[in-house]
Order: sequence, then C-alpha cells, then structure tokens
Amino acid sequence: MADAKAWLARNAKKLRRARLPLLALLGLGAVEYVLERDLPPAPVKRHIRLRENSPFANEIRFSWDKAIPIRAGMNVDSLKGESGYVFRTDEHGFIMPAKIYDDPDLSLVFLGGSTIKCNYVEEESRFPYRAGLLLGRRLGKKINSYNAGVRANNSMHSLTILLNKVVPLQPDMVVMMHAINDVNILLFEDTYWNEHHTRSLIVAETQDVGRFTRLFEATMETFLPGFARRLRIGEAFGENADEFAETRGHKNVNTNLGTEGFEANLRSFIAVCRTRNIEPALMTQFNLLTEKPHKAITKAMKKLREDWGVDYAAYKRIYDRFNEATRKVAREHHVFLIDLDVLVPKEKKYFIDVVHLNTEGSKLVADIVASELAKNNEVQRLLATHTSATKPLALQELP
Amino acid sequence: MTDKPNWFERHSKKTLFLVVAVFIIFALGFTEYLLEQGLPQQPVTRSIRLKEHTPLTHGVHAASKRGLKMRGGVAVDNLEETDYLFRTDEQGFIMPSKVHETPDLSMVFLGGSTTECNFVEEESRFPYLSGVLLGQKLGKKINSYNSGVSGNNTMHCLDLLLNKVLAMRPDIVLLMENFNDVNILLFTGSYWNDHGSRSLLVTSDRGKGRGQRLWEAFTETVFPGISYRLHSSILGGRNLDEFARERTSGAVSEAITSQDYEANLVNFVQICNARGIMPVLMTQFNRFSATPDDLTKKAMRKFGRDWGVDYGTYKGYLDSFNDVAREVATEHNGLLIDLDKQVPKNNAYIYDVVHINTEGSKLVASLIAEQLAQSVEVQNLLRAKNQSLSEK
Repeated sequence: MADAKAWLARNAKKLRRARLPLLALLGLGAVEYVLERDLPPAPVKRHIRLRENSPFANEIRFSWDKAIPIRAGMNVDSLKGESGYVFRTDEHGFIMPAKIYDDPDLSLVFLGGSTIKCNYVEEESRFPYRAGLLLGRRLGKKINSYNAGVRANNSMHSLTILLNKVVPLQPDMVVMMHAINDVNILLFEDTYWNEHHTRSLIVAETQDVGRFTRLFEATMETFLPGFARRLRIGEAFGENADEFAETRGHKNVNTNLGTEGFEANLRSFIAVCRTRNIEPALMTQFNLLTEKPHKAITKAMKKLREDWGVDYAAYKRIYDRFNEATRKVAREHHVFLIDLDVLVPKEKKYFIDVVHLNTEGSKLVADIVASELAKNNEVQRLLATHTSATKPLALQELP
Repeated sequence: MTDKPNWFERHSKKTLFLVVAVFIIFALGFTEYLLEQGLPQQPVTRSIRLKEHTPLTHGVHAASKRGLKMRGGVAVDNLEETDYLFRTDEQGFIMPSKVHETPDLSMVFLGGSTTECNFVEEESRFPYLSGVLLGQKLGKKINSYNSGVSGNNTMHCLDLLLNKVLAMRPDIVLLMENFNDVNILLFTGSYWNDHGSRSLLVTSDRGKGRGQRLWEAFTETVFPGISYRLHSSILGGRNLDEFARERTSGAVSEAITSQDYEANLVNFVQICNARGIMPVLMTQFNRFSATPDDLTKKAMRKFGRDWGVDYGTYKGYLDSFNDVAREVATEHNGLLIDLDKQVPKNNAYIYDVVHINTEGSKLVASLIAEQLAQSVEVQNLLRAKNQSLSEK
C-alpha cells in the first residue's frame, strides 16, 4: 500500500501529463460503446467473380508447376525445367502477346479454360496467339488475337467475361472452347450456381474473415508485405492447390449428367455475339480420351474412380456428350465449328495430360485453327473489306 | 567506481530484453527484405459489380422533402412523407419475396429504382403485389421476387439474370428499365464505363493505398460504431449525387444511340429462351407528356442546366428507348406490357418524373397481373407445369 502511494508520489508529474489523453481515450471508448448499440450487422457485400488472369502479370512458371503433369504421369520430359515458361498479361488481363497491331484488319478473342490458356507452352507458341499470327501471314493481313483463357473457367464464366469485358473491345470474332471444366463442375457441384470457393459465380466479400483477421492482414500488408504475400502465395500455391478437396471421396456423382445447361450457355454465347455484330465460333475440345486409354491416362483416371466413383469409360461417355453438344448447337445455329476433338490426333506427343497441350501440340492446333479460320466466310468477308498492304509471308519464315 | 555496479549490471534484465528485441526486429526486417526480393507486383484483382441489395437488410426509407433534395434536387409532389419499411431476404430480394414454399409459379422483376419502389408501402410494391393479384386471378400460389436496385441499367440486369436469377429457375422474368440506360449513356457514353458506382468492372480495394486500407481496417475493427455512424450520416450524405463528377464536368453533347440497349434487350429475351424461361418486356412509365406539367418542367430545367439536354431531346431518347422495347418484343414474340402507354402521366400515380407512389404501384400491379393472366404463354406455362406434375 505504501509502495503504491510512493509510486504515485514519484510519478505525479507523469500522471498529470497522462490525464488528458487518458480522459480522451475514455471518452472515445464511451462514445464507441453508445454507438455500438443497435448497430446493424456488417453488411454482406457480394460481387460476381471475374475469372480473368490478373492484369499486368509478368512471371515465369517454374518447375514446381510441373506438379500437375507429374500427377497425371504424363510427358514431363517434354516440359522445360528450370527456365520455365514466360507468362505475361496486358492491362485487360489478356495473355500476351495480345494487341500487337494498333490498327488490325481483324481481331479475334479466344474464350475458354486452361486448355486455351496454355500454361506449359512457350509464349509465342500458345495457339490462340499463334493461330492469329499464322492466319495473318497466310492472308497478308494484320490480326490481333487475344487469349482470354483462364484455368478452370467454364462456359458460364466465359459468358460473363464476354458480356462485361470482351464486347466493349468490339472484336470481329470470338472463338469459344469448353468441355472438361463444365463436365467437372457439373459432376462435382451439380450446378454452375454453386458455392465452390474458387469457381462459384457469386462471391461474398466478407466471407469467413473476422474483423480482427482483417486488421491483422492490413497491418501485415502495410508493414511486412513480403511475409504477407509469400504466405498467401504459399497457401494458395497457385495452380497446384486441390480445389475439390472438400468434395473428394463423395462417390455419388451423377453419371447421367445432361448437357442442357451447357447447351443453354452456348446458345446464350451465340446470342450475345450476334446481337453485337461479333461472329461467334465454337470449338470442340482436343483430348487424349481414346477408346483404349494410354497407360499414363489410365493411371491418372484411376484417381478419378477412387475419388468420385466414375470410371474411365463413364467419364469418357459424359465428356464426349459435351463435345457432341457443341457440334449440335453449332449445327442448329449455323455457327462456325472447328472440330478439334476430331482434328487433333489423340497422340501422347502433343499432350502433357488428358487435355493440356505441350508446345508441339499447341503449334499443331495453331496450324489447324488458322487453316480452318481461313475457310470462314465471315473472316474472308471482313478481310476483303480491309485493304492492308502487308505482304503475305511464307509459312517457313515462322519461328 | 568499482564497488558500484555498472549500468549493465544494474539493468541486466532490461539489457537482455533490449538485445533480444533488437535482434528480433533486425531478423524480421532482414527476412522481410529477403522476401520482398523478386516479389511479383501486387496483382490487380477485379470483379464484376453485382448490383443487388445487401442481403438481410432491415430498415426504412424515410421520405422527406429535405432528404429527397439531397439526391440531386429532385422535384417531388404527391408523395406521402413517411417511413417506408424496407427489408431484403437472404438473397437480397426485396421482401416479401418467397411467400410460398412450393409455388405453382415464380417470377422475378429486374430493373432499377422504378422497380425497387423505395417510397411505396411494402405490400403495395408492384413486383410483389402483381404476384399476389395474379395468384388470385389464377387461383395459384405465386412467388414474385423484386430485384430492382436504384441505378441498375439493362447491363446490370443481364449480369444479375445470368449469375443470380437463372439459378432460381423462375418461370417468368420481367424487365423494365430505360431511364438508367439513357442516363448512363448520356453521362458516361457507354455501359462499359469507369463510373464509381455504376461501372460493370470493379478493381478491388488493393488499388487503395496501404495506409488507407490499414486505417479503414483499424477504424472498422476498433471503432465499428463510430465509423459506421460517420459513414451512414455525414460521409454518406455527401455521396448521394452519384453523378457529381460528371455533372461538374459540363454538358453532354453527343447524341446517344439505342444500339447497345437493343442488344441488351435481345440478349435478355434470348438468354431466357435458352433456359425455358418466359421473358416479359415492359416499357417504362413516366411523366414525360407532350406538354409537360409544372413539376416536370422544373425538374427538367435543372437537368437541362446540368447536362445541356433540353426537354424535347431527353423525351425523344426515352420514347425511342421505349420503342426499342416494343420492337424487340414484337420481333422475338415476347410478351410486352406497355406501361408507358397504360400508366397516366400525372401526379396521381407518379411523384416525380419517373417514380411511382403507392397508388401508382397498385395500378401498375393490377395492369401487370391482368395482362399476365390473359397471356397465352402463361396459360401454356401452367398447362406444361401441370402436365409435368401429373407425370411425376
């Protein structure tokens, strides 16, 4: 007791000085206390997911990215090791090279998932870019070709991207290729309007983040951005995180999966393009799902059976139905179709897993897409109206 | 000197603590330095605006002349100055919404503030009331969802339709909007603008400075009460005029076209058709008659001063956009409810230039219910539903 008194006496000056700030703090606390009564719960803000590659990305996909092909047990040898694959995007999040001409005669946009994105393909050989390049050289025209492929995107994501991001660019043609991501989301989540944490259409912004987590994150971001960002990168581990961990093991998927929703998306895609004077084109998806599976594919697909109860044959049946749906919708609406499922040989040398191309495969697809597009009436009509003087180059001149 | 313990001996604990603390800070700093090396640029994350009401809102809209004046000085007559209850369900639809667990028919209304009906009594807001009236006429249980949000144009409506409404598998979706479309095109030139509250794409708050985000997180965590009240009163009031930036930047001059608007309406119809949903287009009610009344004149004088668009020109835009709705409905065999023609252009029903009061909302509800009840498509829809039920 005496000690306390002595302490007070010794620190009288300090105490006097602290009186005012202390009072202010108390006052603030009291005001806050009063104002917190009847406070409505923090509003749940939601937005629509824009599944694009972040604008201005400039990175190199290093060897640890090889985890995916390794898991699938595929052509890992054909992938580059330490030097990695350059991955850059422009201000709109399109994979570069994108806008190479300021005054193009024709502009194309490719919509789709990772099979359009071509992660493990050298920059200049990614087929959406290269097809434009080849077509341009063949016809002696300046063509910009935009790659809007984003890993895991399904046709609903692409439809939203088309409306909100691609339409204002006023491209001449939009080419869309979807199958496997639609199959998977419908198999694993039953619907496009799911609550999956990375693929849902709508996102609640305050989801699972408590007040203090937010303060902690903001503090870390401000003072220790290096730690914060590395932690986040590590946690998501970009491409390699198992997005379906939660539902894996549920062997109750619907193997009679219909294609109505997928078809409705394709029809909506066509409608949006045509009302905006954009020529729509559809592509079936190239794949390695042969009647008799390759050895490596069998291995990869065994996992599918363990996790979801779908065997190779059943999965292939569903998958084929989706490519067939693309053909059907294209036929019914007289939409230009590039039947890559048929045109791309189902040979191991072109693929790194069931559906993803390697550089060689991508070059082949670029050739096919360019020569198919050259047959398109609308492409010819559009190009005829332009009078660009670019000299046609021999195809051999290409890298 | 020697028998006196030196400073370090006297403060051994403090010293030890200090050394450890300094070491930790340095280690942390050095690690941070290492980690920042080769760190890719902070990615820009963007999203698409979901123009919905915050789910589970429970509040009132207080109609007062003063309050309305703050919204860019709208002239008002014949609006009862009272508090109008405003609640939303867990999906952000204005309540009452899902009134039946197993409805025979469900419909969704898309639109802006004229669909939202802020200053209309809850049970009289026409999107809900028309469902009730139609249900009575047909002897059916009908759920009717109001997804009107002030400021929504037809592009926002398309985004809502695709990402939110289709999931509900409604039988009928009704769209009415043209004011917000005319305005956004006049003020920003395009649906794909970078307007602060109406743009389609939004860049996440990573664009904000680090300090600003830290400050916001701090105030919201430690002083949520104070920060909420500040935002909702003083700061909120300042932002009521959504077009303040454009307003001061001078008049619009270029003529707008209805090309993109038409494409939006066509897409609305086609997206609904692709999903087996019955689309209904409605022209927009308004007070723009050939000879404007005093209030409309007054409101549009201010509009003319701000934007350099005179009454005749503006009315021309609205009329031509309503014509587009009529044409699209005819060309695509969709049902049209011509509210522009059916709702009298006077203050008995409309309290400013476009927004309806409770009386107006009741009238609109009865017009919609009547025309839906008479529509062959609705009859077919019910027959098809009955058939599929009996097959089950």
